[in-house]
Amino acid sequence: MIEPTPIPPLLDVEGLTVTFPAAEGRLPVVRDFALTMGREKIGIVGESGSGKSITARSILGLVRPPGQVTARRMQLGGTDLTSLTPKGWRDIRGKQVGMILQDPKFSLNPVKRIGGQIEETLRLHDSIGRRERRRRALETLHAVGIDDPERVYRAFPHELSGGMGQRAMIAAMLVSSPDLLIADEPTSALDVIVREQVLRLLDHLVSQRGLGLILISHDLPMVARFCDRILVMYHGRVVEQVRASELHAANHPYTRGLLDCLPKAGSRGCMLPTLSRDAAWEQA
Amino acid sequence: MMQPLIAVQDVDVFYGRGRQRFHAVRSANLAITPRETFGLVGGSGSGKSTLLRVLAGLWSNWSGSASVAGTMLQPQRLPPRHFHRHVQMVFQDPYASLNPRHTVDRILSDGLQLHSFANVEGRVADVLDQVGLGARFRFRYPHELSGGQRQRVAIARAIALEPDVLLLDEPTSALDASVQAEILNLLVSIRQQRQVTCVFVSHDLAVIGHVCDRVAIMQKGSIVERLEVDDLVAHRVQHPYSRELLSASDLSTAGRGT
Repeated sequence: MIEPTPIPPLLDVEGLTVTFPAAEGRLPVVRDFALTMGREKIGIVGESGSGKSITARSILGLVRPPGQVTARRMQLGGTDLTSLTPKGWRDIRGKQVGMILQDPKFSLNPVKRIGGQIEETLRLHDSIGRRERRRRALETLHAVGIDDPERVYRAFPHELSGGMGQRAMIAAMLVSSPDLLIADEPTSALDVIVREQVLRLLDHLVSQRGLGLILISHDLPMVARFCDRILVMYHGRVVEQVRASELHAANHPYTRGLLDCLPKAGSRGCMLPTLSRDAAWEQA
Repeated sequence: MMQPLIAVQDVDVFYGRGRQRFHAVRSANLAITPRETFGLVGGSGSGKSTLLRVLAGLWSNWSGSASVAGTMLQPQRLPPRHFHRHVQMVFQDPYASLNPRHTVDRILSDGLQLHSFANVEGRVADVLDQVGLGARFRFRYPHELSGGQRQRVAIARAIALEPDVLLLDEPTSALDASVQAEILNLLVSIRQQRQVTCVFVSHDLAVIGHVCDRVAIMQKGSIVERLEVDDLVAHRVQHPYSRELLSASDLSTAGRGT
């Protein structure tokens, strides 16, 4: 009898540490990060400099020297990421993992038409004809809620608004159907109404296509509303892991502090509580 | 009825000229009384920052009538220097609004010297204390400061001249939530100590609800609704755009469990 092989988790990371050189030896910016996830929505929350973006970048092999990435285990759907060659990384990026960055103004190529930028991943990873590529690009643009895909396909990034640009970016990441999507502050350059539309779209696409999602943000309430599980990072370390539905019961003083310092109805004219940081949090 | 300190009547603001002209703000009307904190809210491109630039005397391509802190602003020309002694502005991005080659001391004393203040040394020290930085920050450069500390310097630069009007363009949106709380607290304490009128631009309704007395909501260059902040907090709004704005920001500020 053959033992049924268990389905490996989508992403399995253990003991991920990223260091950069500093005057007094190597400075760890991510310390002992661990995450095992399936096709679910994970939120990583923390303030500037907490290491959340570097964590995402190291999953994509995008940390350049002098930065150094080490991990006890780092696997993506059965592929070992710790021993990948540059060619191996290129096969994974875009094809298996897509990344959405903060501001479409800086992350889309300003001198290339949107259509060409969306087709780029298809050109690199699949051997399909031009016509089929175009068809898929238009189909994906339609899927991200763009009403006139033909116009956007021909447009340059500066001809699109922030929300449209971010939709085009999501389309570029989805077109080759990756298994995992990493969104690094995907909505913080957008205004509240557009932010809501883009989040709803991401939510819809991720559940419809059954993708795994890592959403990185400093906005704890937003992440809580959107994700299944939340990791709270402080000084490169995950200080608390909590189910989004149980955020109100979070007990780490840092998580509580992040929630309490937000202005809310009834706080008017009063002083807001501020975070008093504790050196012990870095050890926890 | 108190005499308004900021009165804006039928102001239209433009970018570019001739056929390239873009109509950024359409017939805006505002009357802001002394010591009030007034909020301008709207999405990207709604014209809120543009209107603020006109009030700050930083943009001249407009028509209509506007008076700020006792000075009638003239369309198509920038106000005289003494205007800026009474009206000061704090910008959104503390990484871009401080000269990287100047020390904090020079950033703060330049304005005081320009407006011929006496005892510049003493005033710089006082204002640094007031924004919670203290003397040890005096001879640092901006790159040696965190985002929150830089925004404190920008606020110190503005209040050092003891202005009547403080214009704030999204002063906390580039900052982390915990730092935002510190800056908002600083603004509350400044308002308790000084007779200052504020105009606060933001797209974050929770922040606006926390600091403002009255609010104008802008969409595509027009003011679509004016309301008391209590009505905003209680969701008593009329215009469909205000409703949309409220429901979108409600979702992003109120977590599932809270």
